This record gives sequence, structure tokens and C-alpha cells, in this order.
Amino acid sequence: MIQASDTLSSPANFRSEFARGYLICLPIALSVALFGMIYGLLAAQKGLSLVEAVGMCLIVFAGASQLLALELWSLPPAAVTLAIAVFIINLRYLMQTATLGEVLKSWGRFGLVATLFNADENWAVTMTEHQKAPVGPGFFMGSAMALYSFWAGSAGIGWLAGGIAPDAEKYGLGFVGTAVFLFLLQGLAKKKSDLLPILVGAAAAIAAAKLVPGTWFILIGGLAGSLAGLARELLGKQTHA
Amino acid sequence: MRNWYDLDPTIAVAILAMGVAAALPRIGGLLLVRSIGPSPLMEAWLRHVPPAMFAAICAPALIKGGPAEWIAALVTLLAARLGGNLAITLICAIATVAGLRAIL
Repeated sequence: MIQASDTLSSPANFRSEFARGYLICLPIALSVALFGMIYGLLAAQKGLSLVEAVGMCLIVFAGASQLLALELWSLPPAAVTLAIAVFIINLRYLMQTATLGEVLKSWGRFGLVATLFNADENWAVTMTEHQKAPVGPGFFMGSAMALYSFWAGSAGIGWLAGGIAPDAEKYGLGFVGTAVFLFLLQGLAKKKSDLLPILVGAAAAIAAAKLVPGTWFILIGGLAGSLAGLARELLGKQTHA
Repeated sequence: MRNWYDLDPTIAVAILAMGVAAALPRIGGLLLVRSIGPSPLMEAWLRHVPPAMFAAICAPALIKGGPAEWIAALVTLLAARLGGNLAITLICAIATVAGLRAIL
């Protein structure tokens, strides 16, 4: 019998899965490109060269972290402070890549390299698709490369655009990031049992965003919501037994 | 004035340090579950991570967004449910916020 992971790792399948992941992630990559342009613009204002601004996108590949780095920018940059801040902001990726075990299984150790391209958006798209029908590393890398290419490309465009700063808020463009996750949430939440982790996760994140600086609210909300879902599942089993 | 291709060594070091700092949690999550090994409890927990984290990512921004974004959120959910197409949903979402911002 052919295992699902074997068929997913064949080269022809990799290519078609990669293309599917790239295309599904394309609208999201376009919306992320808006933030990439803002980042590129700010980077130019802070005196980074095009190579430095785009290089940071290719090596760090983390939007919130890069914007924070520009916020704290100095010359020479405080490398240790920046690295610690980036590490803390990205702790949420620990929980995200922990859920990629099945998706990246067929790649073995090479799967660890694939996790370097994990970001909120491509992780979310991959998990959503994986729930409908199992996907492999091809899909994950396709969705990741959509984001990666648009993120670096848009930063370059923003850097070149220089002084032309569009009033993104006025045209509702600031809402795009929220809308992407509302869309994904709608697609994911099919079962009644998803409601508790969603509500607890949202409530905990809202409270955490008020009390704690940075992006801790994502990790706190994710932990609280998922543990609430697990607790209810365990209690449910006990009462039924 | 600096050239577009300039690369300051101190900036290069800072970018590399940030790159390593961003890589550790990414590799760490998968490494952790692989080293612990599969267990029914962990799998049950990880199943609840996506819905909780999707909600956590967008909820605070939505609360801060005010009435225009709250109404737009309902439109977004409705468009997602009816059409299921991301690009169309995003266009509906942006149009609603822009329209409401112009009126409100």
C-alpha cells in the first residue's frame, strides 16, 4: 500500500503542490506586499541601502520584527538588543512549526530547513488546507515562497518609491491583515468544538494586547485558546466514560 | 550619501544576528515535537492551536479598528462563507472599510 506521505513527496507531486500552494497564497502575498512597501519606505528613511533593506527581508523574513528593528535603529545598530527583541517577537513560531510535523514529515531533517520560511500567513494557509486534505512539503514551500518573494520584492519597491507615502489607513488597506485571518478562521471553523478555542484565544489576545507590549498577545492567545480546547476535550471524555 | 548597493559591516552583523534569532523559534518548534515523539495528548492539543492562534492574531486589531472595521468584519465573514474566494473577500473587505470611513 502506498502511504500518503510517499505520494506527497514524489517530484511531480512536489511541483504541482508547490504551484498550488503558491497560487493559493498569492492574494495574501499581495496584501502582505502593502506592508512590505511601508517597510521599504521606512528603511530608506532610516538610511538603509537597498541591499541592506532587501537583505534583511531575505535573511530575517519577519514583518513585525523588521519594523521594530527600524523603530530601534541606530548606527551602528545594537545587534544584541535587536536579536533578543526578534527572538521574543518570534516565539509564536515555536507553536506554529510544532503543528507542521505531519506536513513536513516526508522531508525528514530537511524539513527543519523548510521551517525557516514559516510565517503567520503561510502557516495559516497550510494548516487550513491540511485540514481539508493532507498536504506535504511542496504545498508548504509554495505558499512560503509566495510570501517570501512578494515580501522582499515589495520592500525593494517601497525603498525605490522613497518619499511617496500613501495614506493606507484612509483607503481601508490597514484592514487587509485582519480580513485575511477572518477569512481563514471562517474556513477553518467548521465544527462546534472550534468555537471555544476561538473565543478564549480572542479574549486572551485582546487582554494581553492591552497589558503586554509587542506581539506576545499572539502566543498568549494561542496558548490559552488551544489549552481551553484541549481541557474541554479531556473533560468531555471523562464524563462520557 | 550612500549608494543603493552599500553594505555597512555593522548593519550586516545586525541583520545576521536578527536572522539567527528569527530562525531559532522556527526550527525549535518542529525539533521539539519530533524529539518528544507523537503522543495522543500532544496531538489533541496541537489540533486546537490553529483556530486559537488565527483568532488571537486578528482579534486585538479588530477591537481597535472601531465601528467601520466591525461592520467590515461581518461583511468579510459573510463573503468568505458565501464565496469562499480570498481575493474577492479581500476586495469586499477593503471596499467596505473605505466606504464606511468616507461616510462615518
